[in-house]
Amino acid sequence: MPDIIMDCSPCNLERLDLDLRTALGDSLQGLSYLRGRVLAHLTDNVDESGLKVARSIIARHDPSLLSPAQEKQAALAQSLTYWRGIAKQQLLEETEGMADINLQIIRKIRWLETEITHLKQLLNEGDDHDR
Amino acid sequence: MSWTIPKTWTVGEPLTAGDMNTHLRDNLLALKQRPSAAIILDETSNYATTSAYFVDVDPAKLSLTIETTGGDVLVGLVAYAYGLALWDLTVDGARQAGGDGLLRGLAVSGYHPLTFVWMLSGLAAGVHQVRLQWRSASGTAYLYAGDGAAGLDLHPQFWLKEL
Repeated sequence: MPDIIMDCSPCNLERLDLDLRTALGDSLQGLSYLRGRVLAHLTDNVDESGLKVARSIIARHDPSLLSPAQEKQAALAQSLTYWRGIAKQQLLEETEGMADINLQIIRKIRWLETEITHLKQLLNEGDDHDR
Repeated sequence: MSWTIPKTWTVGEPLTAGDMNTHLRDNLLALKQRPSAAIILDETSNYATTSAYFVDVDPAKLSLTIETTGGDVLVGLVAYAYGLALWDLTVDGARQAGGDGLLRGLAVSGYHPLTFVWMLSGLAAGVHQVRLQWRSASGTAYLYAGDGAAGLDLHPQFWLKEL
């Protein structure tokens, strides 16, 4: 089955992949993107109506819509920014009046703790699940 | 300039211009000017794939043609990538490494340099087409191609050289 090749610029490949997989199932082997065009790699068992559906989905693609995984990542990134703000405020309150050197050390350790906690959470969302 | 197997000279044999040109001049030129092909990309967008099967990265540009004289050929790539892709080469349509390819990306959420040198042996003299292929092992994989984005305006080079 030849690839479907269509203009798609800009293109949110992850979201488009999800939409096409939902419509075509295993008939979609995946997508590629080059020079403003998307290539849908399809198996031989796609019929004319499947091709029509695929073309329609690509033509109607809205790159501003995120996939659930992208939404989750964006939410986690927002959460990280939020917790950095909270942690900074807490530190300022807890360390008020301390000597400069102690203050700096405590701030650095607390900053590292917060960063590691939230970055671990962020990384765990993007697991290396091979296929 | 093609290579000619050097003749064996016999005692007393006259040196003719034809022989000297064929066996010395032309062979020296053949050794000096080895067949090669290369491309450095400067695209308006980067490449991406979610394909679970090996596909050409760019059948127009990351596809080099070389006319060889029967020697081994080195294939090289210097690039920058993101995501968990598997990489391979095809020569005249046949995958070279097979299996999961010759190289694997770093991680689903990881930027990394992507560079290799691969030797093609046993190629018959003639015209051959070498293409870069990839597939995603998870999620969307990217190959940077100089799209102009600040800090990631990176230009891959793909090349072939007969030894």
